[in-house]
Amino acid sequence: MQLIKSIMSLLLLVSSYSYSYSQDLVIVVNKNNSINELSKNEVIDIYMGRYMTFPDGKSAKPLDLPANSKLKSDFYLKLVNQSEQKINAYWARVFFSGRAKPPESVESIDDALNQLKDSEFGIAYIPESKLTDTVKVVYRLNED
Amino acid sequence: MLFKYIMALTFFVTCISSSVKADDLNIDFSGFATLSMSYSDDPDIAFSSNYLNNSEAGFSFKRDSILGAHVNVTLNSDWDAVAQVIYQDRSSTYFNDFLELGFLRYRPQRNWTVRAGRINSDLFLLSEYTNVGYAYLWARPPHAYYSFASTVGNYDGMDVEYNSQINNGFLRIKLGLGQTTAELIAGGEDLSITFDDLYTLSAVYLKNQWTFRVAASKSNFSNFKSTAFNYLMDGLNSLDPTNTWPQPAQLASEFEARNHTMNYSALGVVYDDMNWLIQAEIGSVESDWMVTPSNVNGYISVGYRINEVTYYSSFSVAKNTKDTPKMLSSEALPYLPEHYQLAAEELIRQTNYALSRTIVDQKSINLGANWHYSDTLVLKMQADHFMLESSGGNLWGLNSQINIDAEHDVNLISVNANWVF
Repeated sequence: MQLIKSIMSLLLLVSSYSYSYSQDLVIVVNKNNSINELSKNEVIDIYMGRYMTFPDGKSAKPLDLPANSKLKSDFYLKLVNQSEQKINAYWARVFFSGRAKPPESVESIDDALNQLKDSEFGIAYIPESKLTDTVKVVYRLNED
Repeated sequence: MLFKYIMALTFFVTCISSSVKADDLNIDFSGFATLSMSYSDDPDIAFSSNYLNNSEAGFSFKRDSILGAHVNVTLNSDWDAVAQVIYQDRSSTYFNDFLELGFLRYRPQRNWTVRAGRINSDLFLLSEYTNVGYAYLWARPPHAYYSFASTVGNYDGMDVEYNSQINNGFLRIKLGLGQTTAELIAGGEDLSITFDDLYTLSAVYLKNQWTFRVAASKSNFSNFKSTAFNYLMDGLNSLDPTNTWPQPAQLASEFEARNHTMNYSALGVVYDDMNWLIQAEIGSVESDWMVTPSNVNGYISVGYRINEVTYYSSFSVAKNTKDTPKMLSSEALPYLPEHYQLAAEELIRQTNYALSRTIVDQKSINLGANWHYSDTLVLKMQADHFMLESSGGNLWGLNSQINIDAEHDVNLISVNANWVF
């Protein structure tokens, strides 16, 4: 009985951790970017290749976390209610039509933060807990 | 010719543009491929995926197999260029017919895009990626719909696109003009048709899981090349020594492409969420040219995803919308010399056969599964059942010995592997 309670507690802990982790995704840009806020549609426009620029007309360079990672999966689920495999098919359509290139894939959250630090064109999604003073939040995925 | 100048001018302007900096230049190479094996169960009725491809009966590795190379050259944030070449079992073997895309693009503002060169027509939901099997659900784009679409999948010209956020959705409007020549196989005959003064207008609206599309185009036919039709027209034009039988000359003139136009309109809708992919398109061809009669075609497809596999089923239909004329014998024919009678009767038979081969009247259903095996590989299995109505086999290669007035049922099994790389 004790063993079952322990397993239940562990499962609860894991699920609550993953739940809070997924709830904390924020969209960030270089702190020198003139954009201070984006709407969800504006984030979709950039990440789905509809616009190549931020709303102010400056180039946008979206970054993707590693393929098949939970964060990437959560991001697209929350952003456009799509699985990663559907996102892959979507990008095959958009890319081979010549319309746009998919977000550049980075190796890790730290890699994304490093790239954002060096480029005011970059935009990325990270857990809120990983925020640094080199970036600023322009949208929170749990806002809607 | 006008568009060659536009291409050359645009390229020149791009090359000398002082805004092109070495740091901005970026070249991406990529590709896609489909390896397909399929079996069609009627040896007298040969299947091809669209008008551009050769048709085959029985086993085939060539029907849907394709190899594509894609290069995107980014010059700076405003200018880029795209080229795409494919290899497929097409009736034409000229390089020009394998160049799918080759355009320069300029984005003067966030909401505006201008392209010049060889561009995709954007008249259909799949018109921008018809060759990329990885990108769509089925073993091939719906046959009844995309066989017609293949003739104007791309064109040489230019287009202007405007994008905007409207009512929390995304609107894209595109106006294009140009020309294209389709080297195709229709009704088992090699044909070449030029679509001149091709104007296209399309609008796409994306909101949440929905995509709505409407498109229209207008073009003039010209430069029709067909050995079989040329023989037929020559024969018809020489068939009235008595000046009492006007129909042969009239039919010959109606086989001529000059002064004939085609209007095309299409509607499409997609619902695409985590698990469901529902898609439908309907298109209408209005043509006053007898070789490409007016028709309506469309399909509906429903797919449901369970883990890595999406199961789907589709229904598609294509049908002429106007009656096809028949060539009738002349009352004077029995009074003419016997050798003339025999030649005339043979010409009447051939003309009526050619007229029948312009008819499309088919329905099909399919069942299939699409397995997302990895991020770069999708495997598909699909079973199609086609029902060809009497004389309705325009999209098929028919053995000349079979009775085209009979109805035919054809089953097709396909297994595909689709890569992107």
